[in-house]
Amino acid sequence: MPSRLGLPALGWGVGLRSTHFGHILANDVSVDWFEAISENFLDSHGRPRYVLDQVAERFPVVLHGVSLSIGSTDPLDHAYLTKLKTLADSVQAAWVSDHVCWTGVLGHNTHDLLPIPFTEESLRHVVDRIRTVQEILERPLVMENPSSYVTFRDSTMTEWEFLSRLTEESHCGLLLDVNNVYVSSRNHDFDPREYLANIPADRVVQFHLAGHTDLDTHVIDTHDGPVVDTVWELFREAHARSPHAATLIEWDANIPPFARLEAEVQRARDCVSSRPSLCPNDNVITTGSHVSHPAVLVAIEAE
Amino acid sequence: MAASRLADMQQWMLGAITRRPPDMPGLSIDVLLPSQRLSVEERLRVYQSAYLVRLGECLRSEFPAVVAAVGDDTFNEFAVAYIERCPPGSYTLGELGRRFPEFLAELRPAKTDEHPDFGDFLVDLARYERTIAEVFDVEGPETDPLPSEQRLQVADAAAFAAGRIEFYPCVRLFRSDFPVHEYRSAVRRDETPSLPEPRIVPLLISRQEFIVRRWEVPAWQHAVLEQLSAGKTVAESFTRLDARNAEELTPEAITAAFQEWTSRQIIRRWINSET
Repeated sequence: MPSRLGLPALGWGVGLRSTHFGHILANDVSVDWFEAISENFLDSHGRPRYVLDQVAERFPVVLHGVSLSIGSTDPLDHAYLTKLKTLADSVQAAWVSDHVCWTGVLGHNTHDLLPIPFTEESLRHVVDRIRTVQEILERPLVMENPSSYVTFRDSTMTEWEFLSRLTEESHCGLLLDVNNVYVSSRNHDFDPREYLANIPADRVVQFHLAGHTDLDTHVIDTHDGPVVDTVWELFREAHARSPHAATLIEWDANIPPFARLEAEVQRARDCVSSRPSLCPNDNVITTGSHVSHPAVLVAIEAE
Repeated sequence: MAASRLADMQQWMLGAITRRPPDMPGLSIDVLLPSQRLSVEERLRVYQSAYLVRLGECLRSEFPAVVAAVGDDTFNEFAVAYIERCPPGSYTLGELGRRFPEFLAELRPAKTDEHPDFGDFLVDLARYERTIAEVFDVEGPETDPLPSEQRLQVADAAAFAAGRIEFYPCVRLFRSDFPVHEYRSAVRRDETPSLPEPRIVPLLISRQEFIVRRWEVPAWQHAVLEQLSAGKTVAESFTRLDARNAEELTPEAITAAFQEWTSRQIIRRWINSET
């Protein structure tokens, strides 16, 4: 199995959000690639799809899903997967990613990334479904570690053991969200460095970086601010192990002007370069409703 | 572990998150573990809170004028009740608000007379905002390579009258007992509009350059557009107008209407009925 499944080294990117559509179309931007939330474009025949097509002509695009629900015990949604493949083919997605989670069951989608118990049963279930999805999409899936807020008495292995076996047995790639590692480490009392050290580095295709909300007793993955210093430090270590993996900044609430995202991308570059002193130190205390990712909506433009 | 343990666990957890935990043997909050600083109840509450807040925020972003009309607290109550009545099932949050106008219509108190009241206003406002959301992302004129002025070029007037008009899927005909479009525009300008006086408002809603636009049109135009949308021929659509429109229906007015519709890019093509 080639490193990163043979997928390209895309460099430094940001999430494509409707707030920035106009800016991206009208300007040269200093990022290498964009990640689009799949579900926002699957049925679009309006501006979102038009913008995605325009962006895909200028930049590599990755499709990142939030509703695949790979861990759910509901049947896979084949209509969704067919649309996903059509979209991925159309925009020539560099890869398709989603989360190691379930979003609902019994036909109910909570639109949250719910955790699964790390058991042999869960592993068999998710591996089988990833294989099926990869056959339908005719491309490897890249699976992300979500942040989580509960753990299960049934679990028989750690999250990193689960992910390692998952990648090995399903031949999928990993989207390593370094912020999620930190958030979960705080919520579940584990050492994030042990997590990173035990992830199969050659399977890491992509990194996610984002801000979070620290409530002292626990941390919520809010994506509403800059990346904090501790996460930058973890990222530097993770990036050293997977130096060609693509890196993406996520910012989904209190979204700043695009220039601020570009600055955050530059900080990520600096963080892993020989200029570590340029790493940021402007951690911002954010306020808001403390809702975890992934409520990402496209803003409607109306007269 | 039994083969169905994961399915049972997910069913239980979904119920717990939506605050309706099912009575399932062997499953309780004890399936979860506490952290060093939070109890299992506190940890589960992160998901419980996020569920309602996240979906509520999505509804607020789709129905900003309804929020303005009823206030934050009442809207939150509506949102919680709606999410419980119509839990999301689609992979896209764009579907979340689809049944919200219908839900408000069911929720409204019984009318005491025929006059349009606040309940009617609220339901119309929600219907209008949902229509805007739909129009925003369905197929429209923007990527059609044929210039709009060429879409109605028919040499023979008689053949044109016998033909039909195909509109873009983004075209909607909307009728309200209130000027809900003006109310929403005022809200979007960060004004605090009062409840408008009732009046019949025929609206044409469509999209240009990917922006949703709406026009208040004369009643006869609205009626003709309804007939054309239903697949009637051009001639049939005009002859079905009632006598009240006769004075307005001059040849100049009809020509001007077609020019207006063309400039508004609502017409995809004229269809020859004889082919």
